Amino acid sequence: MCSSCSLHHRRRDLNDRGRAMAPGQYSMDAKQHTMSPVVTGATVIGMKYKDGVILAADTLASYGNEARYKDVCRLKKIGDHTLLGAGGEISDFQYLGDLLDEMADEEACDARSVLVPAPPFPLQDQAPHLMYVDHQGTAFEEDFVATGFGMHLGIPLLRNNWKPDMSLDEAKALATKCLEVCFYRDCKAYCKIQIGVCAGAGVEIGPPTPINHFWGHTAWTENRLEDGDSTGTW
Amino acid sequence: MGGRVPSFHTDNTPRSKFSNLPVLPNTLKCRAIFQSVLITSEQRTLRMLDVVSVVLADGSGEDRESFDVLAEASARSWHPPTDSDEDPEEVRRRHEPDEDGKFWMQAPTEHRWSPYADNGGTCMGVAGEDFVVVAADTRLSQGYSIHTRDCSKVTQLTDKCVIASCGMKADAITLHKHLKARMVMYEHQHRKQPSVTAIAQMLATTLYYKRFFPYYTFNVLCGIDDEGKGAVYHYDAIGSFERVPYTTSGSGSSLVMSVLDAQIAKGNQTIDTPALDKRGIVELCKDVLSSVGERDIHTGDYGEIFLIDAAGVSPTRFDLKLD
Repeated sequence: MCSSCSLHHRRRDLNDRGRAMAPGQYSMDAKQHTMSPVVTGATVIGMKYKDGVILAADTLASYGNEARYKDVCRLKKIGDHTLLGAGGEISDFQYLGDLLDEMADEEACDARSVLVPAPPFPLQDQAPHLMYVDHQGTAFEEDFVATGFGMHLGIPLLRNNWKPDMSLDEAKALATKCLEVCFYRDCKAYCKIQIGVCAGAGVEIGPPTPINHFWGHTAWTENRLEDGDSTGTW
Repeated sequence: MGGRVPSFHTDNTPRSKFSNLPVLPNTLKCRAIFQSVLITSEQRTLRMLDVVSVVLADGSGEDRESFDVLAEASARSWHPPTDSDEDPEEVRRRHEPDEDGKFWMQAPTEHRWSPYADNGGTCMGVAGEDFVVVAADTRLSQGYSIHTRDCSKVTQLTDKCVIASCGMKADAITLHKHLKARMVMYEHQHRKQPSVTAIAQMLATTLYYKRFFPYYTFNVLCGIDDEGKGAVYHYDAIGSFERVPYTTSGSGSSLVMSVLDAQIAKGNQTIDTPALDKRGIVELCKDVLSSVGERDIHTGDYGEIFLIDAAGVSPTRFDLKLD
């Protein structure tokens, strides 16, 4: 069987018993490993603000529909001036992070002597950049971006509320709001988040912080069915 | 032929005159049909419970009962029909319990990876006697999502040549980057910029080089040739190309083409009208792109016009609908 995947639409990942793969089973073919993601992160929210860029993500890594790892940092500092956040396959993100670290080191050593490395990836134009790249290589720059479910639940909030001259606190509050909405409706979102800030001073990734959530609305708790043993929703 | 019932129905079941389905005679039959539907659903999806309760309600009151879907299903030994080119053995495994009596979970197929994406968008090129007009929208979309409203599809390659690419953005980025590098290499080797004709040929070989894992891009290459005439080249994804007086590609191309046929080539016109001048063609391109934005959900936001003439390349922008 061809390992270049792609053009063989009908090909399924099969385990050694010839069965279709469940999440978590590994393929006999190493190249096919991450064709169907196993441990995944959900939404990342990114936006520019007055002095730089922020990224926000929750700390959950899901295993299929199971909330598997609840304290995973999905943000990463690359070099001195770059912040990376990722949804999707977590192992790919970690591998990519290592690769970028290596590149940053090489860049630093090439730029100056080996003994006194220059800061890697220096700000070329001293302006904030926010870029989105997906697994296929689709790439673009925007004022605000979101991955995964956040593309559907977060982007509308960002379209309505984002302003180019937002303060850091305003930007953080908006990102938190987006992730809160994701938490209410996306079963792979989580109520603990991290916010990374990338500004002139450098990159800083904040501590894991719980977000507020409230499930006690009358519409959610009162009985709506006559048989009396089911709770309501809207 | 008597009545509405086609002759192949040999039973005497009364049938609905609209759908030709049997008319349901009683609640018991309803129950049987519900039950079969639930069993069939159970075999199709993982999101069903094993036990289903049925409520019969009529004038005489309510009657509940539960049945075990799995047990019913195995008693009936019916299996969903399969896609013809699927391995029947694999399908059987999916729908039957294994030695341990367990059903195997199937990985969700919507997560299967594809190296290709369609990012939509529309571009067009119209050649004049000594000029050429290129127009494209700036929307970058994927499915029903708009990634960004301002992402150019057009790259300037030389002082008198630009390329516009629709299709997959990632491939277009790579292709344009590659072409720009080739422009630099050519200039270093020949101490001049390549002609539009040379670039056209080079683009064709570049695309065909990836014949069996193509760039999913649909390109329009435009410029002023060595004789000073406007040149437009149209490509498919694997490098077939042709010099044409006007062309279009991308998600709205079928909407654009017929208008250009009528307004540029004057095809099927009953009234003679003079050929459009430079400004007329620019305005036509704007109108066409605006109209495509009304009908094609992947086209919109902003339009870019690149007018190439003796003065060089002059880009302008205009608004399309942001919906």
